Amino acid sequence: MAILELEAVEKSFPGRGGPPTLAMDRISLAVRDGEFLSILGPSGCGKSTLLQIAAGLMPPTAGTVRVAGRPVTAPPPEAVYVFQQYGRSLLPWRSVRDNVAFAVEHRPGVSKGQAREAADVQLAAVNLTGFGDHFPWQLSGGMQQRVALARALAAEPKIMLLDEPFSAVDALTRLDLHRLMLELWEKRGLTVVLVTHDVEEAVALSDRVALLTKRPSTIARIVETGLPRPRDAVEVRETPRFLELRHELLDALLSRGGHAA
Amino acid sequence: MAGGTVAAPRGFRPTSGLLLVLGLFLLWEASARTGMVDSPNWPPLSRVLVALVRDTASGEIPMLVGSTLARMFAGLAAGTIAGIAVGLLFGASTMAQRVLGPTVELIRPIPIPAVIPPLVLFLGLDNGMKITVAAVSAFFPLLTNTAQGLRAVEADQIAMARTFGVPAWRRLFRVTLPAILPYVMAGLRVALALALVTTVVAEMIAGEQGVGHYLVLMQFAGRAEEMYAAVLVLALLGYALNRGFLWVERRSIAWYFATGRDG
Repeated sequence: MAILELEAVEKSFPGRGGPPTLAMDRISLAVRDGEFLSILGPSGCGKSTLLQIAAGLMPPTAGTVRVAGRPVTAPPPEAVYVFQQYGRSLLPWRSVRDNVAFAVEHRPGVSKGQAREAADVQLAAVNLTGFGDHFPWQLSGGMQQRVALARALAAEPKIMLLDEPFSAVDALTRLDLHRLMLELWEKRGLTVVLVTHDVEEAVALSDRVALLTKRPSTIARIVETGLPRPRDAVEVRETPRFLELRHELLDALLSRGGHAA
Repeated sequence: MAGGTVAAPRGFRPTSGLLLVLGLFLLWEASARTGMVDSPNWPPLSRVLVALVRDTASGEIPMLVGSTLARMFAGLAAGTIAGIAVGLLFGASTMAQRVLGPTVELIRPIPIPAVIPPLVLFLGLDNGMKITVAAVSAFFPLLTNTAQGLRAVEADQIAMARTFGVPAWRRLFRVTLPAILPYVMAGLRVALALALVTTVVAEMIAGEQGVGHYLVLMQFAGRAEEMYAAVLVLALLGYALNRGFLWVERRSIAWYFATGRDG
């Protein structure tokens, strides 16, 4: 059953003095309840735009987005969006704990104390126990991104929309975050849509990978990874199926991505 | 705790600027006593200090300073609130900016003291006029900086609040306003200095209130010691206000300095 559906979603941006540029051409996609789906595409193909439309943060020019069957016109309560630039979405004047509490403290019937307790629970889930009183800018990049994940989890979403959240950290930290993300996804029964340009990341984490073309972007194809669950985000990279998928998707990206001479 | 004080350790070194200040004070004293400058309008510093201590002890100067400060802060508060409000309006509505922008740009360059005479005609010589003068002085720096701060707010922070379903009014108070606070503080610092100047000028021009009036009165009366005492009081006042402001600023936006966003 689809929990998130995109139906013939189009996006065009006003052109400078000319006709509008079409960024996205009739994209349809049904994200199944509980799956981990990656949207893979070359840089500048509008992956983030697509995710923001899915999150209700940006209206499409045409087409419909549905979450749990309801058309999306504003950010739906079931979904949270996690930003690529953790440093820009965390609030530097708030402590780590209060940043996480921000996700729920505005809800009716939630006291400041309850919001902070909920924050501590989520900080523990991302292995940041004891860092609640720090400020985001006192933490490393990987830790800041974990704060952003904890904040997203605090909202108790059904769907997490991840906009290249692992791209701004070093390779080792990235693997660490991959493991954490898989663990959270398995434990909480989340539906995850991850936008990335990293083929290995997409294959290692996902059930399905949707491959986007360059602008105007459409879905070129959707690949079922068929990799076993539960899986380890590092060990899975040594399986023949992983290597096969990596090869196939890289090929497709390099020929479609406009990198060819 | 994070932030903390950033003040550099201050030792008293021979190159310290304080020595020059002391030297100038000594030169003042010497020039008046030795007849280098021989004028009833140039009393030695020691006699000025005597007048200062005497009028401070009598309560006259504290009362004058208090009344000047009360007017200045009342105007500063009104001008600050109005400046932030109009700045937010400009940020929220391009239409407001289009309609009001040219008017603001035409009024802004007018030297504030130039509006005192017309204001006297409408508001009289007393508090209303002087508070208005201070408010107008504070309005423009706050307006400019609020608008500038709004352009610098991270779009991701607003979008983040939206994805969690935070309502618009709460986004304003919990995200936008804290985010622009460093810009507001920078505007406030300019406004504070300006408001002190314009309040004193307004007191000098009109009415019988405050340190500004006292200064002019002593000049007319030929009482040079008291006149210079008033000048010293204003120097100290300006210095103390700025130091006090920096103290508040370091504490209210410690994150801004710690993240190095000030440069």
